[in-house]
Amino acid sequence: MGLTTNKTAVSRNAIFKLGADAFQNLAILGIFLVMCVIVAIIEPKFLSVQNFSNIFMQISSVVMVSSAVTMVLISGNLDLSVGGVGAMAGVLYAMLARAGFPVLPSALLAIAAGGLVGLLNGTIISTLRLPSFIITMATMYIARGIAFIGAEGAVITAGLPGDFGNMGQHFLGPIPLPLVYTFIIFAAFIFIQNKTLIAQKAYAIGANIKAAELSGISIFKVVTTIFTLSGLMAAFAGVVLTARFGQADCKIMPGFEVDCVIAAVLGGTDINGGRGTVFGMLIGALIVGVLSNVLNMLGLVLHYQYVIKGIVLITAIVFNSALRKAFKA
Amino acid sequence: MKWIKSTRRLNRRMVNNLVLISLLTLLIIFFTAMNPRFFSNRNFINLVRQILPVVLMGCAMTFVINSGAIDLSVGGLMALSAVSFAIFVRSGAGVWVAVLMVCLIGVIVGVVNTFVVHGLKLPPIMATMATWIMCSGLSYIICSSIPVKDPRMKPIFAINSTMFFDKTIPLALFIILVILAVFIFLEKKTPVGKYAISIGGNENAALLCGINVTRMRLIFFTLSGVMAALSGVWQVSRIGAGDPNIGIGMEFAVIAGCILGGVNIKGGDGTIFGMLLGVVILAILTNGMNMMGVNAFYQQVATGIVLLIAVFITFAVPYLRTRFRPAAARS
Repeated sequence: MGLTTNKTAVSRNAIFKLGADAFQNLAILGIFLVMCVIVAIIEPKFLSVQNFSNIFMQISSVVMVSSAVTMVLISGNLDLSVGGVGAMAGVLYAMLARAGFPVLPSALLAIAAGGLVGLLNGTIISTLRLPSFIITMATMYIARGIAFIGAEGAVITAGLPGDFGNMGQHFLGPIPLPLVYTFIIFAAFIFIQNKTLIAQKAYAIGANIKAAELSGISIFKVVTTIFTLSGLMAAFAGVVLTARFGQADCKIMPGFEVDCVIAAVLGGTDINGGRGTVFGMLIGALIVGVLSNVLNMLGLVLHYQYVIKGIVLITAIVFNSALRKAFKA
Repeated sequence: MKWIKSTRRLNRRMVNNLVLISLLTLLIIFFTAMNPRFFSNRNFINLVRQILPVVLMGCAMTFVINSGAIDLSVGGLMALSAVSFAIFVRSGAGVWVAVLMVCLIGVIVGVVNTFVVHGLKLPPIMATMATWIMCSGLSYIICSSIPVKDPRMKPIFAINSTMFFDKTIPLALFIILVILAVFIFLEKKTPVGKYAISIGGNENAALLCGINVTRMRLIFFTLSGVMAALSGVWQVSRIGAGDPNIGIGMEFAVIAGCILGGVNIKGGDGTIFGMLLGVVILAILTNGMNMMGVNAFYQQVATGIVLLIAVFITFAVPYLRTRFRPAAARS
């Protein structure tokens, strides 16, 4: 018989000459653009530079962290601790700055603390093969608790040095710094996803962990690295948010982990692992951002967004599954 | 030979439960030593009232998790039912009619959950996460974020304050005992409990054995919805208003209690009694730390650590046994 070719990927969609992931990304991008057109018709004020800038700032944290969370999801795990870690890092940053440390080392230490939590997560999950849902839920509690303790349940505003907010409030030319960070991180993760071996291994682990293990992939190394990255990104986002506001609120990023997962899943990441792209996640985050934005402009109160988010989540997953099936059929 | 092997399997669960009971006893002794008022009647009443919603939802959640799914929507549903209850009463419905209507909401959400999981084929975690967000959002929308109060809600407050035997035993205790009795009956004497375990153990095998997985999951999710709805009403009776902030974080408390009680998060193993032990231990931990004057935030850290230890014991020990003592673990 000879070699059997991968008929689905090549001959079926010869017009596109694209792989499954690229096809899906294109479809989602198309839907996003259609949505933008509809929104622009409903509310012309949508199409302003200021508005777009607002949307990008809104989703900047989610894109930063979800780049890493997408990798976690691809490897078949879940990271529920990102919100708690972000709050903890923000509070640590403020506490260190208040204690007299210079701003940059404080930020770096806070981010390192987040990385430590991620390392802990990854180690426990990969060595003991415990379900990531529960472990990251527990570390979320612990990290939030540390944030509460550090800020004594409130907000740290007093005693902070003058350059505390530089990281989050300054500009690089016309672009606010947080957007610069987001862009760099996003580009870095696109590179990681496409060009590094560890990302390929993550896909393998997500698809079939036993097969990956038997193939010689070190589950410990891959999963630990991915979770550490997730913790680092979460901490970084927390520090940047704290710098933006100029104060450390122990309650920041409530439900952040859900937002990250929603962005990733909307972008085509399979919750069971094995497929997904960081670019898709960006589209997902943009869809949520635009929806929130338009709901705000229409005057609908914040909580309508929760209902819409839930419906969008379900619709997105159903749509993505249908896309995958249509691609294979 | 067979009965030796079967007693060894029984022993694992019995040992698990015994460990939990001893832990419970140790905690009670420890906290009483720290603050003698811990072991007082008043604290007991407080504890029982606090524990009721978690036990109610835990009973249903045990079946859901046993069957391999999970229900994250209970917290949001509590809020929705609390606010809906208050609004129904404010619009003129009788208190008990409102309770029934709220249970209907719970049933509807349970049906929606089942549909999304089995009809739209979403993984339960995503499906119930979506339902959770939607219920939570709805609860804020219908009351415009303002807690709903109404003097006609008075009869329901009586459920919280009613006590028997000369103000020593709260009505809450009897409610808990009745619900536990019903659920333990369901677990041991009806197919409900057994099928939950089978579905969780191997869903395809259960399907091939003729178990209607969709119908069973419908039962579990509906039970979960009704229990969450009733818990919402209970919270209203405790705080005196239909507050959309009710139930925030509850789903994790319930799940943590189940895990601590030996319910396997992957499904296929777990008992109501174990869940009860887990929930009681967590509640006593919080209550005891309150009595000791421990900062509420340290409590959160402690809860997280306890959860980690619980998962470690449930999972890591058997896994490590297979790695280091394959002969013993193969039994």
